[in-house]
Amino acid sequence: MDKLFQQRRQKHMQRMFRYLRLVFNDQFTIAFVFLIGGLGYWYAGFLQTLQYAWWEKFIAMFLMIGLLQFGNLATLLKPADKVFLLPQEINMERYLKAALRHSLWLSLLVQVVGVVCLLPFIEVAFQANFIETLWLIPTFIVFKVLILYDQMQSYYSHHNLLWLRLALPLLTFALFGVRLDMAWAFIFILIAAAARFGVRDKFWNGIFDWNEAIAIESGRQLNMLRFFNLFTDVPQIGGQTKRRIWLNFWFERLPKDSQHVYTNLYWRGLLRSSEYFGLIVRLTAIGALIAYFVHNEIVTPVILALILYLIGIQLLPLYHKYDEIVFTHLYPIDPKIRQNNFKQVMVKVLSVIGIILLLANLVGSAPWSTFFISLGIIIVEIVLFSYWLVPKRIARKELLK
Amino acid sequence: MTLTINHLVGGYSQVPVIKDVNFEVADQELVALIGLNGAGKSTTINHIIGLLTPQHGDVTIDGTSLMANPALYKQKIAYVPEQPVLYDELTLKEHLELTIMAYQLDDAVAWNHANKLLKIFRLDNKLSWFPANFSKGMKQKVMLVNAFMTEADVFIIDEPFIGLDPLAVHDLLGLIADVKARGAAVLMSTHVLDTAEKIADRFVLLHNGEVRADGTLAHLRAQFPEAGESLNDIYLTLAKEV
Repeated sequence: MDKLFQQRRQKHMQRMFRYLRLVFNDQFTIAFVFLIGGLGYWYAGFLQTLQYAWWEKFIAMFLMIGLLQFGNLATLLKPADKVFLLPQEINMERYLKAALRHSLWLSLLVQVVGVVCLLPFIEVAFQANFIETLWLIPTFIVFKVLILYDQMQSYYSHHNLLWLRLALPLLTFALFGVRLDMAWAFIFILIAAAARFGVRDKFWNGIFDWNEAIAIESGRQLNMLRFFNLFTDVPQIGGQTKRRIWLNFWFERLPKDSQHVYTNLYWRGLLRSSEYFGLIVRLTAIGALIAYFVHNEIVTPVILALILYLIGIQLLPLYHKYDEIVFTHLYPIDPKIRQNNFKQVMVKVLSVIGIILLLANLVGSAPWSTFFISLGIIIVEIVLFSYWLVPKRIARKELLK
Repeated sequence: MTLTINHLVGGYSQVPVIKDVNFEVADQELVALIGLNGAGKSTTINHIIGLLTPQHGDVTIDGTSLMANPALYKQKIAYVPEQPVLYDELTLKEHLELTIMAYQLDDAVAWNHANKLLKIFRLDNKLSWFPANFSKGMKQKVMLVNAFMTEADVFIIDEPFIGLDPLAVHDLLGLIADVKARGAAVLMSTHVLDTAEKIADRFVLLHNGEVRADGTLAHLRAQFPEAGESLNDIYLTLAKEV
C-alpha cells in the first residue's frame, strides 16, 4: 500500500507541475509579480495607517480561523478504488498515513506563510509584541497537523470535523490570544493535541467509508483543477455551457447578416461558455479590487493595463475555438470578415472591462490624476491590442499551420 | 448542376491517399460513394467540400472551381458530416439562424422551410435547447435540417444511415428525392449497401484511393458477370479481388 501511494503521488506531482508550468508562463509571471507587488504595496501602506480598535480582534480571529481551513487531506483515491482496493481495506490505514504525510508539507507551508503575512496585523489587533506573536507559528503547525489527522480518522468514525476545525480554534484564540499571552495558546493546543491522540484508537474502529472518501477526494481535485483552469485550459474541466437568458437582449441586438456571422458566434461563445465568461468575471473582479484599493499614479495604471492585457491574451484562443467544426470552413464567407468580427468583439469586451476597472478606481476615490492616466493607458492599450496584436497573432498562428 | 471531380490527387500529407479520381454527379442524380474503411471516401469528400487542397486535379460545380472562386463554390454546397458537429454555445434556433446568415438566405422562406423539416424530424419543440446535449441520432437530424434548409445545388451526405431511427431514414430518403426533383445533385457515402442499392442512381466504387468501378447497377453487373446479383455481392468480390 505504501508503494501504491508513492506511485500515485508521483503521477499526481507530475501533473501538478505540468499545470504549474502552464500557469506560470511568461505573461502570467510578469503580471503575477506586479500583482503581488501591488498588493504588498497596499498592505504596507495599510499597516502604517492602522490604529488599534476593539473590532480588529474579531477580524484577526476570523482571518486566522479562515487560514486554518486551507489545505486538505490529499488521499489521491480514485473512483475505481472501491472495487479494486476493497480486498486491501485492512491496509488502508497505512495508505492513509502515507497520504497524511504527503499532505502535511504543502498545508504547513501555506499555514506558515499565511501566519507570517498576518503577524503585523495581529500585532496591532491583539496589542501584542512581536516576540509574543511568533508563538503563533508553532501553534498553527500543531493545529493543522491535528486537523488533518482528525480528517483522516473521520473516514472510519464519521465524527463531525467542525469541532477541531472551528470550535477548538475559536476557543483557543478567544481565551488565550485575546486575554493572555500567545505562548499560552501554544501550550493549550499542545494539551488538546495530546488529548486527541490519547483517544485515537477509538476512532480507528468502524468500516472505511469508500464512497465518502472518494467523493471528498474528487471534490478536492476538481477544486484544484478549477483553480488551474483560471489560467490555462484544463481538459477535465470541459467548459460548461449556460444559457444566461438575461444576456438575450444583447444577442438579439447583434446584426443578423452575412457580414456578422462570426460576431454572433463569438459573442455567444464568449458569454455562454463558463471557460471564457468565468475568466473575464474573475480577473475583472481581481482588477476592480486592486483599482479600488491602490491609488498610486504609476502602480495603478500599470496594474490595470496588465490585467486588461492578461484578459485579452487569454481570450485570443476564442478566434480558433470553432476551427474543429467543419461548417466554419464551409460558410461562403471571406476570412477577412471573420477577423474583423473578432476584432470588434475584442474592442467591445475589453472596453467594458476597462470601464468597470476605472469605475472601481473612482468609487475607491482615487485621485483624478490616477484616473486619467489609467484612462489614457487603457484606451491606447485596447486600440493597440485589437488592431495590431490580434491580427499579428492570428497571422502567426495561420503561418504555423 | 453538375459536380465534377477531375483527375483529383490528394490527401493529408505529401503521400496521396486518393490517386487520380474522376467522376461526375449530374443534376437530378443520386450517386453513392462506396468503399471499405480507408478506401478514400472521406478524403474525397473533404476535397469536395474544400477542407483539403488538391495536389493535382480540380473539383468544379458547373464550371465554378473551388480554387478559383471559393465563396461562390461554397455557396452551392450543403454538407452533412458523418459525425454531427455542433456549436456548444448555440441553441438549435441559433444554429439555424447562423446558417441563414452565412448563406444569405431569405429569412421568411428559410424559416418556413426549416419549420417543415423540424416537424418531420420532431425537433420543432426543441428550438431553445442546446443540441450539443442531444443524443447522436438527434444531432444528426439537426445536421440534416441545417443542410436541407439551404437551397444548395449539391448535397454531400457522409454516411447518413447509421444512428438514425428507421422513420428518420425513411424521411431522409423523401427529402433526397425532393431536392433531386428540384434539380440538385446528391453525393452520398455509405456502408449500408442494400439501402444504397435501392435508392442510388449510380455507384462509384472506391478502392485504395482509386475508382474501381462507376456506373448503374445494371452496368456493374454487366461489367462483372461472375460477381453476383446484388450490390453487396459485387462489392465483396471486387474488394477481395484487389
